[in-house]
Amino acid sequence: MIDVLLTAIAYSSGLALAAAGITIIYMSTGTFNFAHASFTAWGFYVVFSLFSLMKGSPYYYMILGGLFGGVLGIATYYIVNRWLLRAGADMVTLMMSTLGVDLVLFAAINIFADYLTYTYHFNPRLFVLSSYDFKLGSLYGIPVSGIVLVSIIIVVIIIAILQLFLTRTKMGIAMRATIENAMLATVLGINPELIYVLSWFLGGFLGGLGGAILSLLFTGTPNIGMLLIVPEFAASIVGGLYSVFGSLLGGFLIGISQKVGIALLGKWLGGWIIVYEPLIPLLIMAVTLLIYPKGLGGLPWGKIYKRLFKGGE
Amino acid sequence: MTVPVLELNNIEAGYGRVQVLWGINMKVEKGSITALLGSNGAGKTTTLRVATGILYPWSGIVKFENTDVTNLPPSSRAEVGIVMVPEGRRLWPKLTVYEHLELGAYSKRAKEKFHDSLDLVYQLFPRLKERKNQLAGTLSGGEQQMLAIARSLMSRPKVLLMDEPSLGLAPHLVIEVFKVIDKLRELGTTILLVEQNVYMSLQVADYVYILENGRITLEGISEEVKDSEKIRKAYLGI
Ligand SMILES: Nc1ncnc2c1ncn2[C@@H]1O[C@H](COP(=O)(O)OP(=O)(O)OP(=O)(O)O)[C@@H](O)[C@H]1O
Ligand SMILES: [Mg+2]
Repeated sequence: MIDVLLTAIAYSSGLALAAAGITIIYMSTGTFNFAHASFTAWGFYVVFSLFSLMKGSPYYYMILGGLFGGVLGIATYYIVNRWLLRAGADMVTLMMSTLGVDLVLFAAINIFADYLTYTYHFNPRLFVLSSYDFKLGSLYGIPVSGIVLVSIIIVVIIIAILQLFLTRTKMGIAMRATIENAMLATVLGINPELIYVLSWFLGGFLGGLGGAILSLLFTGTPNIGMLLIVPEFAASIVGGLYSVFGSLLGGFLIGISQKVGIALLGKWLGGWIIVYEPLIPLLIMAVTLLIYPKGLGGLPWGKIYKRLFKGGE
Repeated sequence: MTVPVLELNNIEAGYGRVQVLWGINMKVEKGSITALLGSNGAGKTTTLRVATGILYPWSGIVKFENTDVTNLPPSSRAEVGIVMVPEGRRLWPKLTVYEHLELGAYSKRAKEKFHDSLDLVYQLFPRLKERKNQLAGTLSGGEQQMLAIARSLMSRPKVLLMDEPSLGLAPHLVIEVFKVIDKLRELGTTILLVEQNVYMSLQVADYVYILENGRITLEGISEEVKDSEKIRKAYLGI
């Protein structure tokens, strides 16, 4: 069970980052980005292809996976999203257009996989990078992979950077202002388009980085995005869609319940249940929203913090 | 005559197919307070929207310091110095007082003068200094209006467009707001003031335009307008 928990932690970290990316893009542009899991899938492929070409350690290429996701985000903005925003498109249109982007990215991954196959004779349609991970040691006889610790460190660093960026830099403050009231920000001289590009970059970066982390956990295939899209969205929605912090929490709630839940169910009910694993994130999402309709980000965290650490009010 | 800071020439504008403004001609002279007065739905806010670029006119020209800015987007107009204090003291409830002031000085021109502006604003509104780390959404109505004005001053306006700054405030706060406007004039700020409070506006304004159903029906220096038959009957009730 410990190994399940360890995997669940690393999985949740990747998921949390990707979900935070969805939330950032949604908050500032109102676009529910269906192509997000393809950004994540590209994170897998950036790490895989660079590692296969240049060796070393998969960790060297993680940040590039994130940056590539950021570039995909910017491209999506400039090629598709920007024009629709300018025309005042509604939420459904914005969302549907990203479905188109998703199809293009999915096709591009397959083309890239063929390219790697024919040019370099790699195996891009089924790859396992976890065997190149380092070992941290063992816990009750179970070996602990490096990614468990690294993924958590990355999440902590990203939280710190985002927090600093959003509250200490003028650009970050302008971003929050645009999210709260774009029209008002505009009449004060803040160019909303700059904020939109930045959001797409940040969102894409987190999507790609999430994928880079997950590439050390799961078998890579061109279809990996399809496996991840549901838990990514579930995490973002559970988080309340209007809170980056909430979606990070959502990532952990969804990720841990998915991995631990399916292991327990498999033990109790038998292996046949395993194929229903993708249902767990949706169930957790539904239950959480029934209890907290505004999602985890809508909870009074300030008060909870005071209760927990300052002994009541 | 000097060149007006802001000039609207023959503006026709509206929403969808509904025309709201019919041939508006206005000038805002440097260092003066120009009031645009009229009742609900006359088109005052619409006029300001055209001036800031949130709404593009169907025809007509918007000039800033004698250059045509009709096609300039709102964020660039703020950069050159056309700054608005929007209707209903619009703030960002989840940003702090200080963050509002920082964003007020977002443009490059304003950023260079950030510290001077901050001193000025804290001097005008000492309460904002005390409350600089408070979220704007938790300020009182009067404080919110002061913050909205303070934020706009941080932008170093060359012309300040104020949309009904006294709306919804208790009488003593209304007086407070007009005192601030008077102080701003002493500092040499050029202001276009939109108001329904005709009486108070006539006290501070140098030049007045009366807007009715989207048309300017009367204009003149405020002493003349104050004494005109029409204003006495329709707006001042004397
Ligand atoms: N966004 C909009 N879409 C459609 N019609 C609008 C819009 N804003 C204003 N109008 C209409 O334009 C006309 C003028 O409105 P405007 O807001 O300019 O009036 P106002 O003089 O500012 O009034 P108030 O004193 O009530 O603020 C009104 O008939 C109003 O219904
Ligand atoms: Mg109005």
